Amino acid sequence: MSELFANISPALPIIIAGLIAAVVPNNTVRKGLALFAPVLAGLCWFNLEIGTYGVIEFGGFTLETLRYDEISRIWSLIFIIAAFLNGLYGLHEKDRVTDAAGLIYAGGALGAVFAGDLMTLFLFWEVTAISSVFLIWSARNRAATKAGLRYLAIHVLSGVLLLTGAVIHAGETGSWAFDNIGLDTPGGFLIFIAFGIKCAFPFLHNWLQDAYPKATVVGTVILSAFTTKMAVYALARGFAGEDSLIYIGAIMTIFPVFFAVVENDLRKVLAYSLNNQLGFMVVGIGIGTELAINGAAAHAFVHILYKGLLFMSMGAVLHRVGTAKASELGGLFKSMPATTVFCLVGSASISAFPLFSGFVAKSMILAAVAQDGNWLIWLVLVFASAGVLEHSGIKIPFFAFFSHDRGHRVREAPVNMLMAMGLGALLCVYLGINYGKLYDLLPYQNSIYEPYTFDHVVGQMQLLMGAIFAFAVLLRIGAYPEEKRSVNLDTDWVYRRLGDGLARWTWLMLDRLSASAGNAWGRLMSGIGGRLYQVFSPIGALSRDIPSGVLAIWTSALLAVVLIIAYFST
Amino acid sequence: MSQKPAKKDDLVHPIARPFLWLESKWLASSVVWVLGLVVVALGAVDFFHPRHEYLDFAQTPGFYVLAGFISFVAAVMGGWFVIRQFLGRAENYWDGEAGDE
Repeated sequence: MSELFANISPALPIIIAGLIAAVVPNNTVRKGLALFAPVLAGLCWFNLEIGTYGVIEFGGFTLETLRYDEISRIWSLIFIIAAFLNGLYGLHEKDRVTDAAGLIYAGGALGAVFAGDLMTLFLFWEVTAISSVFLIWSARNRAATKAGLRYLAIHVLSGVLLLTGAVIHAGETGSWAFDNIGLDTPGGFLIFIAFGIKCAFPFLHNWLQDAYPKATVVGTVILSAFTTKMAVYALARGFAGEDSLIYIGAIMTIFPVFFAVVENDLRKVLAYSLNNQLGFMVVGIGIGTELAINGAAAHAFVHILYKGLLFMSMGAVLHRVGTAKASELGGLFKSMPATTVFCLVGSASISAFPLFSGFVAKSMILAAVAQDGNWLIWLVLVFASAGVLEHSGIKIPFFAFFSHDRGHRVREAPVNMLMAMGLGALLCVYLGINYGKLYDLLPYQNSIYEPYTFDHVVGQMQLLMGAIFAFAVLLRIGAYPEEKRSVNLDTDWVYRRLGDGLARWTWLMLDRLSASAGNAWGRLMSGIGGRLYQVFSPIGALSRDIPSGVLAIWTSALLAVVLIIAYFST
Repeated sequence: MSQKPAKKDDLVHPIARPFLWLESKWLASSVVWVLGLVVVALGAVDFFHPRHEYLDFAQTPGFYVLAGFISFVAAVMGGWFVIRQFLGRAENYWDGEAGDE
């Protein structure tokens, strides 16, 4: 049995299941595929051995479709787990587009993680871009359609930059291998930007907060797992130890905190929180030591679980109440107690409370930064840790499930949603306690880290309790901002308002220019036409009666000219 | 014979009933004091157990408590006074797109 699945890419069954789901109208069959395909992928994963397989010669390229090593191992496993949880979470929803797109998207992300060369990476990079946009469009409203178009445009741009960079890089180095790339060449720089777009670098980030909250309930959960973590993987593979990533990552941890504080849409709060968590991983990759890379990998793994769990809980709220706006929510623990508990587990995990998964992962990155002696970045990460507690640890559960009771008396989330959240929550606690299982998957086994030291546990509790105390004080004295229906401008303003305005102004100017040019041309043509009319028309100069004597003189003159030319030409 | 309409709390999930005290006023008024005591107790640990950190300043007693408190307040104030004041707009700012609903 095990030989049957030996060295088959786990991406394959998931993508095939997605393609089948696209043409199968029967909902039960599609849901079966959504659960069965990740299980099959898991069997393939368990039977993989370190090495490169699935080498295909195509169009002059050697495509390495299955590189299974210490780095792709951990990323591929969490992608398979996420695909299964997402399938379970979406069991209640009858939407063929979401079913098919979700599977193809997950398979594409797995394919990218297993890519051994830049061309294979590009192919799967584009598969994820194109398939994932349907998860946004599945919401089937005007806002989602427009957001999906913006999302598609920026992700296609990422793909174009990746391909261009890969071609230049291959020309410079003579290799298409997807290994350490570096920023020494123009090709490397383009690839870096391509990865940065998907990783939501500062100023390239706003597609995330724009599109994710506008997807369907299930779509947002699926989206939260793959694209950005695929980009983190790509950075870890291609740019580990790149100093600029430390500062980029540090900025990523800070700025979303401020936006999340006053954001009213709780799914958008989670999108900002996602951005903030990516920052920790990017810093780890920038530090580049074994401990730091291990930290980034571990953090990506647990982050997919607890962020998925938080998105699931807010999705359940949206599914039952009809809104995820903090200003409209509160007191839901009375109606949705199980969802409340699962959300609290997700919040505790992302806040890195001891015994929860975030605690054993994030601390590795902070320890690596401290070992590096980079005190400023370390302080930034400490600040960001308190910020995480603010938006994902407190704001999300507090305003949705506690705070002011808005009188929503709804049913608990559907059973399949509860099962998916329950499994996610169980893994968050399991990995927080039995962290050795997580550490066994990390790329560098020689780098030993012990999370449960007295100093670490007490220090983390001091940080978290100090922050929670601050929340209680601010709430008590009325210095915590009220939740109100509003939006906050972000970098999307540049292309949604400034760019749009410039494009409209340019169009208007071109329109006027065209009208003016048309008028001038018309006047010119009218003038020329008038002159020609005056000469050639039936009443024109040439139509007048001309004396034959004058014509004879002109004819003689022309004949003379012809004769002269003929004489000299011989 | 008319039936009495169900009261709002009759619709509370049975599992949630034992936890309705979470909404009580005494909890809201006392939680800040309880948390204050916890924070002081946790901060006091540093005076009895010297901390071992890679960065010297992190070994200062009470460093993490203060860092947590100050960071949280800074995050909230930054969001409130910078983002909301300067970048906050009406919900229908984007052509009437109101998000999730």
